[in-house]
Amino acid sequence: MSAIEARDVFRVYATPEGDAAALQGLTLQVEEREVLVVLGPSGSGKSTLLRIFSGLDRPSAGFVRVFGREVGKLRGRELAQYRSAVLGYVEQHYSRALDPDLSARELVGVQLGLVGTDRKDRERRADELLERVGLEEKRGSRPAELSGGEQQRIAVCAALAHRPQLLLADEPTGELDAASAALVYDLIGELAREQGCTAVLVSHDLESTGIADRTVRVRDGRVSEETGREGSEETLVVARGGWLRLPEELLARAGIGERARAELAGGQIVVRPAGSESPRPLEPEAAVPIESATDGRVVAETRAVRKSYGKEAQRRLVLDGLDASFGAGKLVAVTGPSGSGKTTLLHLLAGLDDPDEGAIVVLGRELGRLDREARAALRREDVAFIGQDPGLTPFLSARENVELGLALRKLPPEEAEERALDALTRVGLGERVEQRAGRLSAGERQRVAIARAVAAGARLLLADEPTARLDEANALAVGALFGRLAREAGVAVVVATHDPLVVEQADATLELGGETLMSGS
Amino acid sequence: MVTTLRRVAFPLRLAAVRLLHRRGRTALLAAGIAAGSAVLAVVIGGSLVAQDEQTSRALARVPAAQRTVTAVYSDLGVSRKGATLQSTEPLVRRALASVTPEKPVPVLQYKLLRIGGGLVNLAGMDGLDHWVRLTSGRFPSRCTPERCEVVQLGGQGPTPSSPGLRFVKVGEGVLRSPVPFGQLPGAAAARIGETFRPERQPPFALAEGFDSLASLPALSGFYRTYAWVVPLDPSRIHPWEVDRFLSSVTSARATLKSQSLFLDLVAPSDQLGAARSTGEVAGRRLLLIGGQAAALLLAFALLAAASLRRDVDAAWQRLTWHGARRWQLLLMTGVEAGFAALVGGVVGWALGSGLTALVAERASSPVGAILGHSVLSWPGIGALAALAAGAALVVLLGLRAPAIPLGGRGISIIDVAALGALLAVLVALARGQADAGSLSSGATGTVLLLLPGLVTFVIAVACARALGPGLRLLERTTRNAAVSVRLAALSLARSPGHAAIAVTFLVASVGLGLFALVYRGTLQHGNDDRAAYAVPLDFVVREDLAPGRLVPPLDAASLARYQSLAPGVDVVPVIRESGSVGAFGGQSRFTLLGLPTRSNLDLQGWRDDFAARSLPDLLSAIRPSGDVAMRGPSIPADATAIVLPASVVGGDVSVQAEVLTPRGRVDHLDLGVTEGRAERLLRADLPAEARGGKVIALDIGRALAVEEHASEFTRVDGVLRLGPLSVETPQGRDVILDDYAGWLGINGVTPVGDAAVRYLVNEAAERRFQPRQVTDGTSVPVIASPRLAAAAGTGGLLPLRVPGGILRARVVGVARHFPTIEGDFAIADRRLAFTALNTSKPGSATIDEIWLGASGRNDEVARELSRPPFDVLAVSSRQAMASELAGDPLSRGTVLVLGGAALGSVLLALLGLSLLLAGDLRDERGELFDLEAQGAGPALLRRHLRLRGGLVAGLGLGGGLGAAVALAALVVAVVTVTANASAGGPPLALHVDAPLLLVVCAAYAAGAAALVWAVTRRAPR
Repeated sequence: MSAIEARDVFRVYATPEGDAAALQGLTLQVEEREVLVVLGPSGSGKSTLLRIFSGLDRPSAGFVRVFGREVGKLRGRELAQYRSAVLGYVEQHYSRALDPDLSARELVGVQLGLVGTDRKDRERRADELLERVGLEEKRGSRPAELSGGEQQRIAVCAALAHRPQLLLADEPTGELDAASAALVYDLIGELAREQGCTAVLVSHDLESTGIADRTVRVRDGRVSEETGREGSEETLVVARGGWLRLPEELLARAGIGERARAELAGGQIVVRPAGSESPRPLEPEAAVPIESATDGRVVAETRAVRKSYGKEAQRRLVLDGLDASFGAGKLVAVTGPSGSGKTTLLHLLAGLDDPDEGAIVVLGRELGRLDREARAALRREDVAFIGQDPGLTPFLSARENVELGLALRKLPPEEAEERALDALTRVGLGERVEQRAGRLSAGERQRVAIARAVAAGARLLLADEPTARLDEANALAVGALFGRLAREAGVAVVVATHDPLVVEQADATLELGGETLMSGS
Repeated sequence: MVTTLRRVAFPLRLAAVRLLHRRGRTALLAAGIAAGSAVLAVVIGGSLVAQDEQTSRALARVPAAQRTVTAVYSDLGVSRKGATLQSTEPLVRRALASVTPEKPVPVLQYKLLRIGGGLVNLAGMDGLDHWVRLTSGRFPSRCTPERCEVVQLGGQGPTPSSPGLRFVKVGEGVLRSPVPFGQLPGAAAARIGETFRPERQPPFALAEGFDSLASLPALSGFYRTYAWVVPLDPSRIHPWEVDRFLSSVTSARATLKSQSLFLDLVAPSDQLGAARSTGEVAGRRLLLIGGQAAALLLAFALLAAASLRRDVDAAWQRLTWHGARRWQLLLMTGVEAGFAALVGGVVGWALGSGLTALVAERASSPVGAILGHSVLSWPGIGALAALAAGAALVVLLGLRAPAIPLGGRGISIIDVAALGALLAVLVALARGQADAGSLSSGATGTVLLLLPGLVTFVIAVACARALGPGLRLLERTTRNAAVSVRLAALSLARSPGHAAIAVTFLVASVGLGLFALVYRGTLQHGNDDRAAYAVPLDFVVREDLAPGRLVPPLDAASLARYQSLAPGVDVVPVIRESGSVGAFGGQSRFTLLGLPTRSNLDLQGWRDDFAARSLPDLLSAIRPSGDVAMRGPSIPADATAIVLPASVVGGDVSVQAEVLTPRGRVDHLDLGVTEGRAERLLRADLPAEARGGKVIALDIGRALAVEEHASEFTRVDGVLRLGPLSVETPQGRDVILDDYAGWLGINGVTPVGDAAVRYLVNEAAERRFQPRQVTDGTSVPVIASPRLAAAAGTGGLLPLRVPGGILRARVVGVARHFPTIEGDFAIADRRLAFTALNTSKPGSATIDEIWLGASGRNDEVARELSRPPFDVLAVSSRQAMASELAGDPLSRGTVLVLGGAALGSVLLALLGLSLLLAGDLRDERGELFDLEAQGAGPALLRRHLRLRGGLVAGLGLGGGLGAAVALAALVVAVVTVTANASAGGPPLALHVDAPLLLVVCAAYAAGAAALVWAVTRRAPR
């Protein structure tokens, strides 16, 4: 018996703009004890698929069977029973998944507690798992006292504590740096196999495929491609009715644009461009080094900056005497494990936080000498900041959100509109400018936030994990955009990221954590 | 089983952990619930304190002589059907013991004794030194069969003695208290009571010793009454004891009556019953405030639920991923909500109990008993439990209530509840008013308890529902506004649900607070209205109906004398008659009021809502156009007698002259009897008060000889020939009328020629020969009550049956109420009514009341009215009545509680606002950080937050004001009882004390501004 059998699954959402299909006849089978990674760009329907598997959502059509249960028909007690006995669920936002009031040991034992497991057994199991993930010393710590990677490891333990038959993980490393992410992937793979459970992991991170028995790609609400164990070939999946999604790269190289002709030739199907189609340039734009148009003068710098958090025994030093400078026309990627101070550095450069010691100088002005009002004025004039949370107003359109940001910078409405449309087009949302932010996918919202920053025309652009919710193609496009901004407009771009696609585009890398290193030009 | 228990225990443990880590929020929620709970406890406890004071006052108002429980037994001192004093007394004492634990005072009183040719009132009791204060001599010793010493308390004359028993007066004194003899039947009780008049009465002799006096052989066979008297201390009977007391009185009385017809037991049951009833009415009316407190509490719970929702949603989502069952989630959240509700409820109840204790202490009520019968009684504790459960349920519903899909839209449980509440209010209104009667019966208690809450709930939910689209509209209309305004509108529109809950709570709390204020003002104004309704100017002077007084106001003093009470005094003489009108399938009672219709008559008790037309307009409609004074030959002021030559052809008749005196009374002067055909000079002396008056009629009756043998069927007829009507003066005889032309005959009297009338006299009616009056053949225009007006025929004609006969009235105006009158009425011009009534029956109308306007000299006029010649009259003062009404314990209690509720509600609104602001800052930290990151400076953030807070507070104030006025209007329309819980007087009218309301609104606005300022003082980050 298959662990999961999904057949012709549709999921249609009603929106004010009309119905939107997240899944369009998706068919998928997962074998028992198989570790499956589902890849796909943002908005492709992979999160919806996971919600349907977990019973949090129901298919509009088709069916999903998990260990023989038709999940879409489970109600009330059966559904709760299904979740508590069959499922383990790992959330992308570990901060949301973990109760801030419970200790690590209690968190791991929550699911066991809910089914009435004895406290001693609960604790024994929690200790066993915490030891397994190297957190036995942190069993009494609460989430706020743990790093992001540690919290996500605890979330994985909590999902597996009751020995589920099926582990579902939704972007489990979306908020982690590469090193922490790798650790979590390994942990999921190892624990799932040790426990003998089936695992479905949804991600846009190619690194996640390292633990997979099989990887499938989801595009436009259907499974489009499939790859077996390491070394096996990637195959296209033919969906019911003959739907076959050809990779865009192949189409482009074959010069196929909007029309194609397919013909059978010697037992093979040959697809050719129809009419006068010609090959399109690849989207997104590849990273092409562009000569800097600026003189490379320093826009921002940190001078012997020390910064720590917490009180007394809990005090944690994140930046220790950091000296770094960020020049005009340069894209600098700030990397390092979670908790290494990447976000802190951006906050300090934006004047949103103060160092314990040292100085921050932006455009020749020492921020420590400016009050909050003056710093805000500086940001309005010269600094753009993209936070991890896009911070958009959901009922305003993408354009209105960008315009609102520009209104804060006191731009006249006409100019704001012009700049908003231009920036949205540059981040690939030219056709979605009037869509409400609340109806955009997480990746699209992130791009709106980037557009808002780009439209500001700032001399210093700070971005905190801007590609965390983006798929590979979009991440690549965003990285290229930042590169162009730096080199063409002379903007100093500082990006805290763990995304290698962005790091690849950077002129320099500032690696935090351990010994701070600045590499590159 | 063990597993199941663990599954139950785990959510409890989670709830405990969550509570432990959210102490501040839990405390705030509990504080809000505590505030509402405390108000409710104070309402319940304070209501009982007010009732206690009311009962005590009602009992204190009973004359001391009647404020007793007294068993009485009468006999002749010998065995009657086996019953003797000795056999009866234990029975009586047992019966009294079942009513009151106090020991009775035995008293014996003989019926007025005639001893040795003299009269004496003889009584005896134990312990004279306790009851009598000696003015001379000494206290008597106990009586022996031959000698009985007495102390004389009053009366005149010697104390009589008989050969077998000698009475010896050893002293004189006065009773310290009327209590012992207060309930005894017969004249003596009245004489030695509070109205004791010792003059011209036989001596009242009091002997020492109940038993010794009762067993005197010489008095055996004399009728006597035994009484066992237990004085009632007004402060000893409390509202919760009244029922038991009344039922024990009834039971004891039945027991005694069943033993002997000569046994009885009397107690001030009626007064106590009335006090209890009034207290209950007030108590039930206070349920309005209780309902308000409960509604407020629940609104706060809803608000708290809204502020907790995000946190609870996250917890539910986490646990749902972990496979938590719904009941486990509900258990966890229920325990969290229930804990805060229980702690808040208990703390508030304790606080309310403490405040009640303080109030009871100040009112000299027994603190322990008050608490034990109110907040700490089982029903009180049940109310607390229900309150806590209700609050917890509201929090839970607020947190988890799912939406019900309806017509493509989500209808929440709250919406459904609001619709239900609206329906309940409409049903309650359709069922009619809650007047004193229905309130005392308790039929409307539930409605009153729920009414404020239901109405506020409906208004609040309507506000909340309208707010979402409203905020979106606001956001759209402010797109070109300043950035701070735009941001404020955006942030409100971004979380319309949160804003709606916030505004809803503020509407509820501010609305209920302002309602309490408006209702308080309405009740206070109602007291003034009631006083002004009873006393339309500053004073009303009328005949005192107490025995021995009965002096009409114009007999006590002339109008001129009233005028001279103080400079500028406005004197308004008024006629008041009771009558009936044939309508509505029977006779309906009404009051006829004759009052001056001058245009400047300013009646304080008149309200514009009494009639569709103004008072001057109505008065002008009944004002006569010309002179309406009674016509008749005038009597010179120096005349001493009236003389009328008369002869008859037929049976002799007696003739009376009806003389209208200058003071407006009609004197009947008996002129004498005719003597056949021979002209006889009929004559009567003119009393002083009749001099200067007018002869308004000549009455023709049967002669005395006929009268002595008269029957209904005896008739006398003939022709009476009259000579010139003359008066005797010191100067001689003056003819005041020599021509009877134009005179009319009434009831069997028919003029024949200029100076003769044909008469037919029997007992059926009065026969008169009188001058034609201005009202003859016309109708009197009146302002009538709606019922009377409805009974009028074509042209508004309405025959009114009054003591003088039938008054032909014509309804020219309608009013729903008129000052001084309860029930139906007809208001006529006083002079016109006077003439019409006295024409119909001379003497039937007189000035019954004088209304006085003091022109600001109230004290002076009051002082004068307390002196002769006015001291024999009953004087009502508007000012005094208003003070008395305002000082009534129930009124004071109600007003105090309403004031407290208003203050508490507004404070709770501010507490809720601070909770909201703090919650907003916490929940929107991310958005605010993003704004700051985009370049919004602290000043802009502060401005935006202040605008938003101000907008929410302002919407709450505006909505609250509207809700308050709507609620007050509704309550005033439904609950007609006045501040002191009595019926009568004009209906309550909504009174909005605009300046006070403005001050409170300004205080709320200032408080809200201060809070917003304080919370946003440091720019958020």
